[in-house]
Amino acid sequence: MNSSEIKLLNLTLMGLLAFAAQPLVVNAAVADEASADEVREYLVTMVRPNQLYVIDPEAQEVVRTCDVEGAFGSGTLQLSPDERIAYVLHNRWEDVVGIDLTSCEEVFRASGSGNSIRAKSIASLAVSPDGSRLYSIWDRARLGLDHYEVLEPQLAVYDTAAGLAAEPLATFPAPRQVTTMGAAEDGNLYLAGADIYRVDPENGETEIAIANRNWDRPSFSPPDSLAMWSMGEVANEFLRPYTVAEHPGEKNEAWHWGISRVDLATGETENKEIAPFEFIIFSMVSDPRERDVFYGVYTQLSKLDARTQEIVKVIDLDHTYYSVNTSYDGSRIYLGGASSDIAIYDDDFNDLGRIRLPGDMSTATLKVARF
Amino acid sequence: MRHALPTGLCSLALLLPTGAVLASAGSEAIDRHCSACHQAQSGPQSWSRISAQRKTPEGWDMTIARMQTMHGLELPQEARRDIVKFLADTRGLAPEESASQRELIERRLNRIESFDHPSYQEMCARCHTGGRAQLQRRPQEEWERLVHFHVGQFQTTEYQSMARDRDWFDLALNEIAPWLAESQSLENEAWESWQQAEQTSPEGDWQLWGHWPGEGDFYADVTINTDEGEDAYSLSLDGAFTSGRPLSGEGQAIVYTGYEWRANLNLNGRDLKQVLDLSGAHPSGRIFDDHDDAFGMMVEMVPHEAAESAVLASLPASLKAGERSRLVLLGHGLGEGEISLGEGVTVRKVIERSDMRLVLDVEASNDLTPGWLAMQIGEISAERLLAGYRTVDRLEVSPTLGVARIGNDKTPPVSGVFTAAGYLDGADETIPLGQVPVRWSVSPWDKIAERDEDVRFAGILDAATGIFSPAGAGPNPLRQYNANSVGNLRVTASVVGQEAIQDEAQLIVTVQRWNNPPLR
Ligand code: HEC
Ligand code: HEC
Repeated sequence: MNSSEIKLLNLTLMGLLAFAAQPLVVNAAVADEASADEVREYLVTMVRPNQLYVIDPEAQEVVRTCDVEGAFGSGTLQLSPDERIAYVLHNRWEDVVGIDLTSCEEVFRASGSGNSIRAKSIASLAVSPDGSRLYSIWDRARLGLDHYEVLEPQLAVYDTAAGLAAEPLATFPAPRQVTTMGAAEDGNLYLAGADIYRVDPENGETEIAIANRNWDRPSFSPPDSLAMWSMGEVANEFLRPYTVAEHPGEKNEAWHWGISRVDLATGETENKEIAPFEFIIFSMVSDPRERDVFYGVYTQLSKLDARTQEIVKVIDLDHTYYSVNTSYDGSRIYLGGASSDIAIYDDDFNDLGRIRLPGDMSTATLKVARF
Repeated sequence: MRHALPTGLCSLALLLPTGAVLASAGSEAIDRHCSACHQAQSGPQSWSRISAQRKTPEGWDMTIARMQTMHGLELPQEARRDIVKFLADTRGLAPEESASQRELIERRLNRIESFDHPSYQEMCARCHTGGRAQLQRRPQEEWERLVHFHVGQFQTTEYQSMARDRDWFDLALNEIAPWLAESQSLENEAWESWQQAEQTSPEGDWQLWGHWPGEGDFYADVTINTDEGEDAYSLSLDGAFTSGRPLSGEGQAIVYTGYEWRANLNLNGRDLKQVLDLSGAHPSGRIFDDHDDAFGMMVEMVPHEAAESAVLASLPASLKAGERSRLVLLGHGLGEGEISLGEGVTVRKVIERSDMRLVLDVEASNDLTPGWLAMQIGEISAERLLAGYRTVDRLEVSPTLGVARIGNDKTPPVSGVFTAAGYLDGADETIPLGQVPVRWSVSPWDKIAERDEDVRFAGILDAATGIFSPAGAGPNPLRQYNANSVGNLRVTASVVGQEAIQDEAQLIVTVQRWNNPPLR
């Protein structure tokens, strides 16, 4: 693929994503005999100490490794709409770095720290649907000579064209305890905090889109969720799994997995229990073909079906994985994070192989990109 | 026991000059090493932040260690020692203020904490003990700054389990900090009066006793001499186990805040630490292995000289009917007079006798009446020090929950150390028999532990001593997921000859701790 072809393809994809609500589905059969101008699917992740990896899951081989200056952490990734630029939360959660996946070129860098303020982001990154804005939320502390002062978190809006010392175009106060973020096609930002917030990044106005901690569900405990992984690009949704007790403390106490979800194409929100809570899941994605089927990962890989409220299938894994994703056609499941190998399964959990990497992925996101 | 004083009066008291304050090695070292960041303030020897807190010597040492690791402070070892000494002496805790947390200072970690606040446990006692903060005194602003430090330094604090379900930062600032400021204020009468109290030197001759895990009861004469350095002492110990096996050793100690005795000892070749509270008439505390803190013994100490004659301790605390054994009585004024140990007990031989100690060979008859044995040594009587029994009514294993840690060369294992105390349950009184002979065994705690064969992998419990030695650290290829040799075990003791009399405890065998600060 030469660079002019890449640009061309890139434009086509941009157009597609801007106008079509549905994600592009790669036909696996066609991909097999991929010719020069075929869109291919890649896995993108960060590996210790500081490499961004682009991996061909079909060939099960590494296509490109990009050194990213700075220390590892968190490795949270978001992709530009053309899926060619990966924005990574890096340098001990203090910098956002944009890397062109086709060339390894560093195209963007911003830090929330400076002027005696240490700013870290806990996985809060999002890119606007047109690719022109990058959003992050910085948890900030002023480091005084003899004491620290925790400041209000800040939502920072960056111009993705601002280069390698990007300063925010605007900042707004943000709620505490926000982790992952998603940018919807209507321009709103969704934040996973105590509740799922909807924020207008033009003016910082914030409202509760889905009540979680503050929900009014008398027979349910407040939900608990660990949302550190920024997937959802395949189904074009912003998803946060949670665990909850129904009738807590009573005889008929029952524990469930549930989800809060925003459809990034339509802005539609939903919140519901999907299956019994029998084991821990670190991250979850839905099946792009049937979005009420969910895959979860930690020490097990599981398939949960919200329609029947059942755990459809579970297998034990050889070690823990933190980050789960699927191919755009839903036929393959990718597991990453934690240690140093990516596992690939089919949708019936048949083992399709491992891709070994030289370092741990730790908290990094496992993203799926096509170009 | 804090006495309520009008706060106005309290702060007034602190404002009054307490006499000329002399520059010491410690205060000079603070001027030199700390004042670039902690500015000197008006008032004698006062620096920002530093002078607004009080804590134990360990607490000060940990703060200073943090200045080194997090804020780039470079500090010679000697200056660190001088500063800790100076701060613990001038901004320490009164004995009443540390009393509720002696277990934490003594590294008795197998215990369940409880607090007088509904959310303190979840808010502040899940990463370290809640006792860590209970061993500090600060005004509200300083408690608030501590909260700012936590969130500013460890950003994930408010995202972790038991924090992400609540407005952690807000609750810490607005509920915990005011509560701590109220219950643990910087200024109070206990500290005021302790600073005024006359300090006594531990120099002299003492007698010390305790129970060495796996070896048995012991006693020793302790000689304490002053050593070079402020409040520094050297000590030597010379004693024996009740079995007759000798016990000896020596060490160095420093006394902080007028009563916090900290020593490094070598006893029968083993390096140990000693923590004593010297503030009472009978100093007490614990001797333990710094790397394996479960391995330790509670000790008590009394001076050789005493105004009153008394028997203070009996090793062991009970005699079994039909058995001949060694009995050691410790106290004052034991050198003369007839020895009677109550009905059914015959003294076969006096092995050693001095004013402070009697070592006897005794025999308890088969038909001894179970219960207290009234003893009489000359003029001294002790009605409730030694008990006789035929069978044990009840057994109690402690701790009820133990945590052992697998280890290797770099992070030594932490043992599980259990003891079993017997009791006679009388109609109107429970009589403690002390440690009675038991057999120890281990089994899976639950179904999961059984399935994972935890008993096989996690380590070995010595059937005679109740000491559990954990397995080596690292992935175990024999286990599923190459799991570490961790486990969840049930430890059972049963009385020798009375198998039905049992008690049990839970033993969690877990991975190493990488960070082992003196106050957990
Ligand atoms: C390079 C600057 C620097 C130096 C030198 C320094 N400190 Fe600090 N100190 C800080 C900062 C920053 C904080 C606030 C953050 C924290 O608590 O760690 C602090 C906090 C403290 C606190 C409050 C801790 C708490 O728990 O609230 C104490 C007490 C303290 N320092 C004592 C000392 C002492 C004693 C020294 C000298 C041995 C020292 N510091 C040297 C920067 C310094
Ligand atoms: C996320 C884990 C975590 C939680 C929750 C936590 N702490 Fe800590 N705390 C730490 C760590 C780590 C340190 C040690 C810092 C250092 O290296 O000195 C510490 C240190 C301390 C110290 C010693 C500071 C000094 O220098 O004197 C105190 C006191 C303390 N914590 C009290 C609290 C209180 C009160 C709360 C609840 C509001 C709390 N902690 C909650 C992790 C935690």
